[in-house]
Amino acid sequence: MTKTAKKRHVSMKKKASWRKHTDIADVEQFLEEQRLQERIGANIEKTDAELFKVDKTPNLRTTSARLEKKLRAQEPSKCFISLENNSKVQDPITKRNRVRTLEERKHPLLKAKIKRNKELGIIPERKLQSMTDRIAASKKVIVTKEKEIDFQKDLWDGEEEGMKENPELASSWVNKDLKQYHLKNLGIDTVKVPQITYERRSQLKAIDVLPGTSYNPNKEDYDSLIGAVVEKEAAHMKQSEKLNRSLKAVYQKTTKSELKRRKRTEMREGFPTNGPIRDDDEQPSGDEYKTTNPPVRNRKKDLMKRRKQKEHRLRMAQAEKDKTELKKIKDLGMLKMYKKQIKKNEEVLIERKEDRAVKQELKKKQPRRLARKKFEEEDIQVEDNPEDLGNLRKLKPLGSILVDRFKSMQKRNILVPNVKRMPRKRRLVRIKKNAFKEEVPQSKKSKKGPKQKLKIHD
Amino acid sequence: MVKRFKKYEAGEGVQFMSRLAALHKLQLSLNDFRRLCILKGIYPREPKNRRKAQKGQTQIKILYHKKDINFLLHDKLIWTLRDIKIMNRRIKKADSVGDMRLKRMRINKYPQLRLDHVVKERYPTFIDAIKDLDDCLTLLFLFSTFPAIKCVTRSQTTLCRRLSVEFMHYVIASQGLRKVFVSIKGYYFQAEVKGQLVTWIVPHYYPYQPQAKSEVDFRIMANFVEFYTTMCGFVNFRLYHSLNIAYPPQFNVSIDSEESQTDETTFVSERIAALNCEIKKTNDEQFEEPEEMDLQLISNEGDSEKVKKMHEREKALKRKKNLFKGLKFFINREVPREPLVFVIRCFGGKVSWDKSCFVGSTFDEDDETITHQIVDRPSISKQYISRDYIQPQWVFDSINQGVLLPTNKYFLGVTLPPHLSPFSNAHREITEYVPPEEKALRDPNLVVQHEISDVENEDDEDGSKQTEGELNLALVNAFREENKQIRAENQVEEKGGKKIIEPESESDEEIDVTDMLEYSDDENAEVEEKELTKEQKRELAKEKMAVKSGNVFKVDTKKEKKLTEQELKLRAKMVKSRHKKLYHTLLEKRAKATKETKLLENKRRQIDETRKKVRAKKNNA
Repeated sequence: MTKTAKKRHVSMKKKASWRKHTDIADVEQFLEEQRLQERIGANIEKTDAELFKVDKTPNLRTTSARLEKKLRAQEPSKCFISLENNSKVQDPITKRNRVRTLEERKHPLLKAKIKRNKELGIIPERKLQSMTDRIAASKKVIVTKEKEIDFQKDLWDGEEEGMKENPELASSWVNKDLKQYHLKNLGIDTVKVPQITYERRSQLKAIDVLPGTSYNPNKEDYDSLIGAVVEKEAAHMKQSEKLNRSLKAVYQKTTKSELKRRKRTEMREGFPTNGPIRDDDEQPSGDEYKTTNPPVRNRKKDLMKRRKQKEHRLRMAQAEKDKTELKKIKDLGMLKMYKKQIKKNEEVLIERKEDRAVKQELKKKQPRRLARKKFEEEDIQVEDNPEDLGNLRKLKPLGSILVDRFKSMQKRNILVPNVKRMPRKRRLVRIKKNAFKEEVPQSKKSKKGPKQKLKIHD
Repeated sequence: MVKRFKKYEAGEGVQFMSRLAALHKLQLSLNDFRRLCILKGIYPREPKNRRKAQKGQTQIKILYHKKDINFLLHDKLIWTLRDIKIMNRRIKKADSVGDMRLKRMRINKYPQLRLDHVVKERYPTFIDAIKDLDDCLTLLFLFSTFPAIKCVTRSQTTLCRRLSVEFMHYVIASQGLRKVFVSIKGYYFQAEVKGQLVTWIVPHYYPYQPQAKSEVDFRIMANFVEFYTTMCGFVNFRLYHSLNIAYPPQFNVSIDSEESQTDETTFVSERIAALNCEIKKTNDEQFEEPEEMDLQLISNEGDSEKVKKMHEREKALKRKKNLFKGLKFFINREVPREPLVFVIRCFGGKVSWDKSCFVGSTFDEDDETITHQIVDRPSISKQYISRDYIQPQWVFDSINQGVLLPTNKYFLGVTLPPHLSPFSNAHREITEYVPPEEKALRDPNLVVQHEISDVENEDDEDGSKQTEGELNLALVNAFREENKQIRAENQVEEKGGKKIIEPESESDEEIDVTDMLEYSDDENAEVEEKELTKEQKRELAKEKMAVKSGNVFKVDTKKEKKLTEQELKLRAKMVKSRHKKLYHTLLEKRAKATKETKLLENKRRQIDETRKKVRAKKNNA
């Protein structure tokens, strides 16, 4: 059963009711169409065949993508498309006052002259000059001025700052505090350097020379240097091997299918399976209630048991007492041994103290712990082929002095051994909006992305 | 009410400050803070008890001393850093608006960090600054060859170049270079500046390598360089003035021409050319160094073992300073010129190179007065008889040993003896075992006397002086010995009843003893003289006047040894009681070392002998 609106009878007595209830949609539509036709200037009613055609030839790219992009960039932006005037309706004001363009303003005679010159290949002098100027400018070397620092001053001539300008303060009659006060008000700061600030931080030398790094080394020196490198490398290898061994169980290699299977079983967990029901964990049988911890019952001890317990306690205490008494007597005989023991202990203590002192002394030469990251020594640079050594002309410089300095400063507690944090690289995501889709012809080769391989911590 | 004691309100708990807290206190960004710390020379610290210093937290934080941060707080540099921050913002704005004129104006007004007061603060005395010159020079030499990169501007590298060349000129003028070592990393130089040893590394050409960003923070190193350039400038100024040279020095060649900024070879060769030219002194008069004066004074007082040694060392040093004086070197074009020019000029030699290849050469290859040509190739077609053709290592080895080594070991195409590090050998004790090969290398007997040219006469005089000094020493010894003999004779004669007035002894050591002896003798003589007859007197006088045949003076080595041993024992007694333990441990150490060396030497001898035997057997067979 469908409901249809019941046509209501409306009185058409008044003008307002006429306006309200007359249906003028068809007239309006007609007028709208007419206006549109006026704007576009053609009859819209065209058949599909007239409007569309079947594209039979593929439009392959004739120019490079880069050039195309460049050309497209020269076109006006798509966002301004609505501002474009497509109307075919003529301006009702025929003599509208507007600013003429530069081209329109040109004198026709001049226009003709330019055109003729262009045809004849005559280029104006001004343009030629500008071109040559541009070329010259591109070739010009930018000569940098040296930073002008005035070193024409003896810093260590024993003169206090600001005394030259104010000789009256230099006299011995001026109180120290007064001097300080005046200097401060003259804008000359006399900050006292705290004593701890410039105390030496490390006992290490700034420049350390390894005799084995000579360009033409002694055999012994070279061997010792190689030995040091080998030792370091061996320690490193041992460490990595140990890590590998201990982490083998944690980081396993798995095949793709195995991973898939595992995932499937994981996701299916808890669902009934078609296979036989596993009965390894037995279901508790019906009524009986069992807890893991059986209930505790407070059983009272009877008097005899209590007595026996007490007797036992007293006996034990007595035995203990006897034992200590006996030990006292025994210890008199052991005095010599105890003395020896004490002496030995003291010796051990002294030894430990000395050891600690030695360790402290050694620690002074070690880099201190300044930051979360520990200091890592730079790898020793050695020429592994001794035949390459011994010739200054064919010498290949090894190792960077910059790195060497950097590490040395870290070692001497001047710099903190931190890893430099690089700014985070943000992934650029390209999104194509449908509104601005360009019809880009496909290139012949379709690009294939790299095949993804699944690998877990090998 | 009694004030309650709270944790971390005293002691280590208040002494330290984390980096973040310091940033908050100083109101600086992390980069600015880092820069400020580097410029002011303030480094993080390790507390004795980290938990207390971090107010109960245990993870490792970067900590600064509170006093250090307060010290930073009062510096003018902070305000400049803030100004820089604001100026950066304004320049950026002008740039984004597209107002280039405004931008240029603002760049010209960019605030400058003035660091001279910082240099004075960090190094209260000049010697302090020189002690810290190692790092400074190494970085300046390194950066002087860098191209302009983002954080190291061209102006900074040119300044580095200027300062490093100036410093090298100072070393040349003061003849301060002591040691050179060529390693695979670069050239190690050691110079004596105002009595301090300064070591620095000059990289091989061409040292700039693009760094992995995580390895070295370039910006940090650039900050160090920023400070070190200022420091080095002021140090150079004072050093130049101490030698009466005008600062900044004027060179005939420009170090910083327009061409050098486009062409790399001119860039390098200009710098070397600048090294090879003389700089003008403000006064022509040479002023003597105070050290020499001191030594002469000491030598007058008496010649103990120590003073003698000092004397010898001084002489060796003087000889070493003029090692290449009068020699003319010509450097072939395949040889790295910069270190060689510097080194040769330091020791008074003259250098030149191919005129057609590089600027700044002073004489041509066909000059007959050239004594050495440095070549680094297996053979050369045109050779002059008048000069030695040597490999560059000869120069370095000669310098390290302080003598001109025989050139035959360094001829063209000859496999060179190893280039030993002079730095490690300095620490080597006398007692340590030295293999015979090395001994041979260091043997001063192998010194070759080079032909003396006109300029070298001065040097020769020094040599003769030195021999005089040695002779004097021997004479003094002989004189002492004679005195002893005479005294012994006197004693014998006295017993025999004869009386002779003892001659006055001149040796200083025996004055106190002999004076007493003389006194007693004189009394005796006065008493006995009255009893003598005239004839007897005449005879005595005759005896005195008679010419006796002289005895050949022999140095009794055994006696000498005994004497020295006695002296040593006496000296050991003079050691203060608090140093006695140390003294004995040192002695023990030395004894141990000598024992070990002896063992090693014995071992070596045995090996050599067995080798000889084997060889002899082979020959026989």
